[in-house]
Amino acid sequence: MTGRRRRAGVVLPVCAIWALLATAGGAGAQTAPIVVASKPFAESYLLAEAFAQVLESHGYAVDRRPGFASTELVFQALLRGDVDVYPEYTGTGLAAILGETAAGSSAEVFRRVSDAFLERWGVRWLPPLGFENTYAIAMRRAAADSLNLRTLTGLAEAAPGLAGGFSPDFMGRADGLDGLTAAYGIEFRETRSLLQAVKYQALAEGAVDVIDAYSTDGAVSRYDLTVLADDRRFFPPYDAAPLVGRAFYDDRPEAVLALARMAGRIDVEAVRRANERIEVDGAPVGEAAARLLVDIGLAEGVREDAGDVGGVPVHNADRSVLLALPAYMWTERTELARQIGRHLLLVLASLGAAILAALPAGVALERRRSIAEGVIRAAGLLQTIPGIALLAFMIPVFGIGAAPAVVALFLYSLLPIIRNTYTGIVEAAPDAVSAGRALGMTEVQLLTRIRMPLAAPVIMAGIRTAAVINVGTATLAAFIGAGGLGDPIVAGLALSDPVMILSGAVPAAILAIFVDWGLARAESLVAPSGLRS
Amino acid sequence: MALIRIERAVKRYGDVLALDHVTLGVDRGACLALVGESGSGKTTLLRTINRLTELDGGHVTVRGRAVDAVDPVRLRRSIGYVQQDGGLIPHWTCLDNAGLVPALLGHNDPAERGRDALHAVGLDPAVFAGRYPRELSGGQRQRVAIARAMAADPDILLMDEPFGALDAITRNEAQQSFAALRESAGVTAVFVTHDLREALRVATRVAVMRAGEIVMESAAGDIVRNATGYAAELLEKSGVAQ
Repeated sequence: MTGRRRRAGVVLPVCAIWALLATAGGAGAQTAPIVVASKPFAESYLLAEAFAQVLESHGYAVDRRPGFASTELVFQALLRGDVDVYPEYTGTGLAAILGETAAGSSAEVFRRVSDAFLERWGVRWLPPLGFENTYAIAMRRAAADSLNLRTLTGLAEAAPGLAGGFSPDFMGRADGLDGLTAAYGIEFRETRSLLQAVKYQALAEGAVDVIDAYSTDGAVSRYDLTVLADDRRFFPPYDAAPLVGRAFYDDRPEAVLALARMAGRIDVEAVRRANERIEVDGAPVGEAAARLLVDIGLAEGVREDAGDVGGVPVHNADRSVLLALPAYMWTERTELARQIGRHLLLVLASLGAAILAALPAGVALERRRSIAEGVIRAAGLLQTIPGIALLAFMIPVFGIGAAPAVVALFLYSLLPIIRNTYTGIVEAAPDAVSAGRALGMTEVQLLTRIRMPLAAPVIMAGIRTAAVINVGTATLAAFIGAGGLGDPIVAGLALSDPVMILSGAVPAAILAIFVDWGLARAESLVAPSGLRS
Repeated sequence: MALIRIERAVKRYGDVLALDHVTLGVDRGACLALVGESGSGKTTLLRTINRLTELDGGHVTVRGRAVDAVDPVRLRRSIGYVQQDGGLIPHWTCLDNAGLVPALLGHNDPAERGRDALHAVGLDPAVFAGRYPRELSGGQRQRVAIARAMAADPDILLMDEPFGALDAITRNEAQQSFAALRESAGVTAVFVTHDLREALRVATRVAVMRAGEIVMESAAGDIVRNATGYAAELLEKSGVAQ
């Protein structure tokens, strides 16, 4: 194989990735829609949707990117200018982003984050919306009563006999579990990481005894919970406010002003009602946001076409999920088809690039067996990075959307294809290769006429493995705004809607089975006929 | 003048001296057996002739030309080669395997030559042409390998333990038919074996190797009379000398 061809194997996928990048970021700055993002829980969806509707009512085009996996991801995207605005909480800004613990009054914390964010990043906090959503450490009322617990100080004594279940975000942050347990000296018997969608269920069923709830999500009254008082004032104030990126603030002052006019208009009762509409009544996010805006006098009436998140209504868990699923998927068929198409695009682009890079690499390694082990191990190391972390690493370089997702999936696909290509080539009838060489076949002839045909089924098996991994991992891409079948999964997890989750998960699973079956067929088709018995 | 000439050939693998200043000539039409135990350097020596082994010192000339002055691919296409396991290409038919070298040389009738070669080793092309290697017995596979080595009518044939993997009866037949074929084709052959009886049955000359050196070289017919020292020991071990 010539040097030129080897280089082509690297250049082509890079070109493919750049082409995707270009399409992802190609729109002109002035006409570009305003990108509104959220974190993966119902209230964040609600507020982002409210921002979007306010902006749209002022005539701006809006690109909704809800459901970012974590504070770090959405904040990074904001810093890069990939996201223009998202709803954030002052206490989160203070503790999770600035890493500070010093609390104070609401006004003091707001002033602190405003000054620090502007100075460090040029990012601005618009005035708070008017309500606070703090963490509420909660227990079943009956359990709290039987232990006579009312405060977190009291919890510290009872904790060794209790199990805690907390959202992943809470477990990972300074103002979360670690800080809390340190501040109060709490040691649980065990702690589990539980998604929002299952946390209340787990508490109600007694699988855990203590959870982190939000003070505004309505679950405290719905599930009859006792909130333990933060008697040492560990949690800072969490006032909700729009967090605005630098370029958006500088270039679109009128749009920023429109959002700023929401300041102080949303009180805790209004937001709790809106949250309950979503989480209890199963109202679409768009409708709940529209009603909220009417309630607070920022809109005239409920728009029938209110642009709801992903165009999907929310289902609550009481309904029979399996019965509701087919009807729901039928209603959403256009959207689902679009998501499947998007999903396939992510998988095919990354897989194609990986084949173009890994196949020549695997072939080249056969000539450099001394470094083969190291290269394959390095590709293996890439695969040990958890999907969501790998996606997060991509954001500083590639921003959000399809490009970072394709690059991450590309990296995941490298190992199975490189390893199988190398193994397939090395193990392809070594005695026939040595005899062929002894009879005057050139290295290229040995490769194209003996090794590649014999290795083809093994290589195809590697491609098949990579493809199936990609179909699954691509669902995570929704966490960084890449779309695909992860969209309904992420939204469903955030909104505790099992039907919505399944409407993404079931097609993803079927897609994986289908891809596996199709490539298994391809695997047997490429096997040389002389070897088939 | 010798068709193949090896002079003071040296080959090292790390600290091991695989060939220790070996000098050897093979005349046109001869059949030389390189005999010795494992690790004696006989395969290494064989492979210097078609440059599968590159020397660290000394010279090899074939047909009067130094091999390192010839393109190795062209050199190898002009020399037949058979290895112990046959090394047939598993996804090619017997005919494709047999016609390999004529095809590599760009002959316009590789299939015809492949058929002739199969016929010459006693395999009916009408039966065997379309079969794949896995459909053959070990003896048949080795015959196809010999047909492949001979199909382009090379004047030189190199063989590395060509009958080593065969059972005793098949081996006898193969040795006899090979000896007959070689004589009728008039090819000059060098083959490696650890079996002195086989060497005496097939070869016209025998060279005995030990630790990278040729300890004795003689016409096959005179070896019993000429053998001394290690060569005599080998003869005794293989039950040739009484």
